[in-house]
Amino acid sequence: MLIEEFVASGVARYEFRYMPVLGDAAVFAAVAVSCAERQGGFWPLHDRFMLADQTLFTEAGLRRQVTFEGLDVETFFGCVNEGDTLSQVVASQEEGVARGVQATPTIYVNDQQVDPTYEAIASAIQAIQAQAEQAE
Amino acid sequence: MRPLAFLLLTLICAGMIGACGAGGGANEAAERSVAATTRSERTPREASILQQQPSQSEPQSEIELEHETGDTAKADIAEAANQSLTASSDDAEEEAAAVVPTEIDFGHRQGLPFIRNTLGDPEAPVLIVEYSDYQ
Repeated sequence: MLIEEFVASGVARYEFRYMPVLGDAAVFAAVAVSCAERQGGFWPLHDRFMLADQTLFTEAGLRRQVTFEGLDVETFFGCVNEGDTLSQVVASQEEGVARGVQATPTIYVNDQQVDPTYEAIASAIQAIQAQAEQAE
Repeated sequence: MRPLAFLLLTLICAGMIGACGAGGGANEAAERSVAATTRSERTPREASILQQQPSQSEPQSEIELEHETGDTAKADIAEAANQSLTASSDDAEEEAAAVVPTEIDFGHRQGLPFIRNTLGDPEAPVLIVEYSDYQ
């Protein structure tokens, strides 16, 4: 997997940016994840939403998950209910549109857009590595 | 939290996101907004594009940009811009506090350093950025 091959090995770092285009639920999920991000809990909740865990769209399910993650539940729901991070989500989406993102997922490797496939991403990273080695 | 508040936030998000596709929110948003919608549904997928195996791909959701005019769109954009401004000082404080990477302590990413939504060594020479959404 890319994460083991390139991120865990220290070759690459990976950044996720919100681009909610699949409707209201996607926006809600992005707000929830960004609220978890404020408490350092981005990755577990991100993974659960990426796995399309529908229980997270119920109050009980979401409460159970953030409790499991050890987040401050009241702070989290305060953030979600007030839409505190909506501007962050909107800014991320605006940035994507300005950058030319026309579909999700869209991948950039060192600012170069590549197809969202293992082969394309791995090839782009390997090309960068080869260039760096030649330069040395 | 009451279920009604939960639903209300979803509806608020739906209203706001109609204004979020326009380039530059606070600066350029006076006359238009861009509503991002999708033409295709996706099938359940792995947790991230980074977990793909070779030759594993998924359909992309295309974004359709629709331009709107009118007072409603202006009001939405103004509200979004206002939220951006009020949030900026909080964001700056949080960013300052989150520059030191910590390690994920469980799951399949255990041991990997992260800072907020960025995973891996901050000094790594390659940066992979994924724009994506949740279904």
